[in-house]
Amino acid sequence: MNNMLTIAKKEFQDIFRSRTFSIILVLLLVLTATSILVSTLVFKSQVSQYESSLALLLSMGKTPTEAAPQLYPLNLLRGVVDYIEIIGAIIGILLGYLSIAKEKNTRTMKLLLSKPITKKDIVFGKITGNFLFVSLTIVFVAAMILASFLAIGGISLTAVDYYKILAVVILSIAYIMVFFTLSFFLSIQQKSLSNALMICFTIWLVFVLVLPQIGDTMDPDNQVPGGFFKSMGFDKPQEKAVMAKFSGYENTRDFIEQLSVTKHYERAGFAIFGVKTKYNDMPFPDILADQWFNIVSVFGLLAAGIFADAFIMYRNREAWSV
Amino acid sequence: MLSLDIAKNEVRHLFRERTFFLILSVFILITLASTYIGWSSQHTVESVYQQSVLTLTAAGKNIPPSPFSNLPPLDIVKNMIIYVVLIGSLLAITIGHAIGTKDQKAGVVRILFSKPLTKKDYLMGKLISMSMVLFAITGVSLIISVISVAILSQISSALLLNLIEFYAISYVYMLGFGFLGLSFGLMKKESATALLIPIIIWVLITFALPEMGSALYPTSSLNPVLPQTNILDSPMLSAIHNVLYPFSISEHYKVLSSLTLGLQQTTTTAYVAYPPLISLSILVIWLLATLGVSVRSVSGFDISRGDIYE
Repeated sequence: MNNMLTIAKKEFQDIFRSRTFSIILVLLLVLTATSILVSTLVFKSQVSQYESSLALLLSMGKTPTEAAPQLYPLNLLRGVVDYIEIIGAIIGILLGYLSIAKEKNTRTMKLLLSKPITKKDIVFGKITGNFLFVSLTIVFVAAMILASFLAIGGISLTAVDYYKILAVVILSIAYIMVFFTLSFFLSIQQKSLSNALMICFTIWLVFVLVLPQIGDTMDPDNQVPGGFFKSMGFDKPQEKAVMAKFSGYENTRDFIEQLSVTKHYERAGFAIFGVKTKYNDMPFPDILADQWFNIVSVFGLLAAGIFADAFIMYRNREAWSV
Repeated sequence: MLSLDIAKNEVRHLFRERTFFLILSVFILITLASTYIGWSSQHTVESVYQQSVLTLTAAGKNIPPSPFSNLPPLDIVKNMIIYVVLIGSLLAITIGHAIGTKDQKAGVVRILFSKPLTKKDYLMGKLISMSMVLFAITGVSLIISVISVAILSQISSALLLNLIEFYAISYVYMLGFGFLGLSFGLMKKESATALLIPIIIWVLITFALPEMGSALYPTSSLNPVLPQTNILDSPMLSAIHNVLYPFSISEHYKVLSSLTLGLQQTTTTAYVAYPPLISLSILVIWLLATLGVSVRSVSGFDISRGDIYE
């Protein structure tokens, strides 16, 4: 246990000293703050548009049919979830890669084993050290969210909002660690480290960007700016009734999206933050119950990744011969 | 002459790289799939519209005209715009990185420069190979798109010209990223950092600038049909947009590509865009600027440098 913690501590310190990660961390924090600022400005713009339309309607003696835009502060975090999806995955990949690359480059794997340290200590020490760094990164992001809300002013969070942020923090850590375990695995399995990194980025490209993009663009509602069903004047039940006739197409689209861990993370994150409007007034436990499959998928993939890392470290003799 | 020898060697080496083939395969496959996805979505949404008409008729409501009735023939390749932004530019970074770091990884920089080779020849060789490989890939994508459009929709000389224009713009856009990959491959001593920096620039150009300047959420910018936004109603957002939009290379690329494919009604941004000539000039400036970075990187390139670290 002590050896494992020593390795974890060394891993954490190495990352913390790295300039590369400082740059990515700063980038993520800056993008978090700007994303919240832009969302706030968009919301204020919507309110001012509503107010001017309302004034016009009232001057014409008409009654407004649409309700005023209501601020749900966590809705402003959509961009943050998006950035964690993209940049968080890159962080995970680089951490996994560098964790093995530094040992391969300095040929210290053999040296490590010549000490009274087990393979288990090394694998779980490295995973723990990186887990702590990822957790710290996401905690910084959460702190930046709260600081941005404070700076904007006029935003008050309820206790449930804090629980929701905590839930997304935990989910985000698990999501980033999925990519860490993938990259860790490939960096051990591949003879060339560059190949491992390129394969990871190809997987990242396909699962983080391409599959969700295909799913999104196949959505009939996304074919018209502002939404196809809105342009037809349909409400949700009417939309569902129409789409029920296209269940085969919808199932294929859903299947493509389900292949991506990013989409599971996004769906759960958007539901918890109420980006999908139907979740805004839903009790938090009900949201979690509704999203159980997406949440379990992220954690299931993480468990599979940890298992795969442990397996390859135990079985792959080449990994220990450098 | 030496530049051409270097270029030939680079191309030969690249085609022996498995990872290059991996990303190339993804790009070619997605080029193949994109027209089918576009065609399939188009047919389905038309059927969804017909079904919606039945519902509205039954309810005795007014029937709005179909938003899909006058779609241009090249609408089915609109996803390709996004795939160039996503996969094409990353493929270009990968190629640039591989070409930029190859000699350092092999530890042959000192041997190479012990021959009568100038830095200028060296850079020219790298630039030529980079441009040739990307040109070949763009050409293959063009051929695939032409064949798939001919099979699934229709093709004419005018449409063929539009597709050639679209791929020419895409080539300029991607080549800029290729030059970035090459520059940092030559500049940085660590392979991971050399790859990471152009990827960070790519993230900024693809996601951050469109969000900051045009209030587009990062994942929304992946959809060729952009959401309705009236950001210019907000003076603050409008001011930010005016400052950042000139630098938003991906938005200029998307606007220009949409225009060349005849999609301006549905796929361009809902807010003030520049005239096409200005957008095109910005893309050319982007290419020249990245070329300038490449020249700078090679002028500071240490010819006594040994291996590059992973």
